[in-house]
Amino acid sequence: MIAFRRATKLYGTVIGVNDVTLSLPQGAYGLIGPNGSGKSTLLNLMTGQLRPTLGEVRVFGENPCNNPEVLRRLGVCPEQDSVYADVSGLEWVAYLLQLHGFGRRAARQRAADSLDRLGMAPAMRRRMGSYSRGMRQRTKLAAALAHDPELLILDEPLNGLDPVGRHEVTVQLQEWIRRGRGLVLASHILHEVEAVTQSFLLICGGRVLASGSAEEVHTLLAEIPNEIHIRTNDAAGLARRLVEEGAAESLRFDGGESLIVATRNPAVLYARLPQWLDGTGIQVRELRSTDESLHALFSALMRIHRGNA
Amino acid sequence: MSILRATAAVFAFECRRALGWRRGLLVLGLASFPAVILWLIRYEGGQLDRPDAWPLALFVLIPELVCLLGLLLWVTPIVQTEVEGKTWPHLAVRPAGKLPLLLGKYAAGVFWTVATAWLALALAMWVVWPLDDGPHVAKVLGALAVLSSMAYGALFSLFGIVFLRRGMIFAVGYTLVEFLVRLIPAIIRQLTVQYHLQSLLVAWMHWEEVNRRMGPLFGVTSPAENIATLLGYTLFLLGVSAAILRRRQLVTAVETA
Repeated sequence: MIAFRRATKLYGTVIGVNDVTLSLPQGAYGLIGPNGSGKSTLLNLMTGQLRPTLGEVRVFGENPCNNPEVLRRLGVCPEQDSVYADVSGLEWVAYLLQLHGFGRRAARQRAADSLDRLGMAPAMRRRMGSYSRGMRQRTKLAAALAHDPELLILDEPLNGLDPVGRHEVTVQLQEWIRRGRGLVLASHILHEVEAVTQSFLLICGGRVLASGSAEEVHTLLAEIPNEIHIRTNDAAGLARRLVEEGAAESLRFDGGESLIVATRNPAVLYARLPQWLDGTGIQVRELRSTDESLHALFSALMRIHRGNA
Repeated sequence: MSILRATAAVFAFECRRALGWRRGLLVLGLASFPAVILWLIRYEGGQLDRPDAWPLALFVLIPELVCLLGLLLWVTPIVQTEVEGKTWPHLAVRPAGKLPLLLGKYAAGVFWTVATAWLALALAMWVVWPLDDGPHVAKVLGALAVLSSMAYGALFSLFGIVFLRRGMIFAVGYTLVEFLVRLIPAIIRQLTVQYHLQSLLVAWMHWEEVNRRMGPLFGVTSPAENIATLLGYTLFLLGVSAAILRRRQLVTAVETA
């Protein structure tokens, strides 16, 4: 469905996407990365809005740049939230369908159906300037879906939606995948993507750092030392005890009362810590993982990528 | 066929969007200022002695000034408004997106400019009426407004696509340079749009004798040659614009690693 071969995109001397090679067969993929990681550049390369500076990009086996045959098969929902304030959602979606080759009447009918499916029927004749962000997001999705594409490319499609809206759109996307259609969904929020697909591409620093199922990513993470922040009444005593038990890869004191422990088996540490401290007089006042955020995940992957982990 | 249909869709969409009080005020303002200037000349003591003075003033004010201002407003920013308004990514990923967008928005801009010029002509003619051979003058200037809008429109759309944010500045700069070049009595002036418009004015108003006495100030090429050149310019410049737009990578937000 999509293939990148050593694709690099430079903006002058700044790297947008760096030497990406990947091949995505028909299916649904979540493109996950922090803001500024290169997700939008990767999507723009897929939709032919950008040409790679080096390497090549193929979508359905063809170069997507200025290729109407490829564009006809794509449904794209860009991240940009802007739409014409002075036209109705129905007019806007119908207009985009006309640019897809549909006649005026067919475009209007399809636009109305698509907006209806996304719960926009009551508001579709209103000017888009009066829409909430969530309504604009639904309108953009309706425009991406209206011509029944084979591959849907969505950039942060759940931004601005309320919880009910998120659920509804998620269900729509799950249904889309069940119908065997292709999907590339970019987001910086892991659980948004997990709700739709279990195939991930993790991107950071313009590189695809890891790919695979959620399970594979978690396995990968399990091999990375997790950092645990422990606040205690006796940091030195706790450090000695953890070393005796072989529970720490490394230890770092953070002020008088805090200890940062790096371990490959955080679950073991969580389970056995009370037992290890029993009778020692050492009290644990606070215990938290410093690796909870997606940011930590990407830092860890970057360390692996650079050979530092 | 789908390109033509999509172009018609863009044209209709843009014309519908333009129907509002803002565009109405702009059209009215642009259309009325030649009439106001001519009214000031005529009724506030100014005199235009020569019989060709009123048509010449109308030519400078309408096919040149009104058309140029209208095109600056409605044609030069045809791509810039989409890029800055962040609607470009929605349009450019459509199979009939870029070229119909250029042609449709160009056609809509030219349509509004010509409509404004014709309204300006009607108001100005009303002010200077009675005018010798008035209906003929109106027909000539009306036709020149169409040719001027088409040729300058294509030129300004090219500036808008090449320079994007500074398209208007370059369009104004070019117009000033062209005005000076047009005065140079050398073959280079035949490259300007103004030269051909003024040659047509001379031919259609039968001012050949006056023109000869003046230097000739205006061109002396045949009307058919002038019309062919202006239409050729239009097609060539639109073709160049389309080729550049096809090559340009316009993204509204550049995300870098």
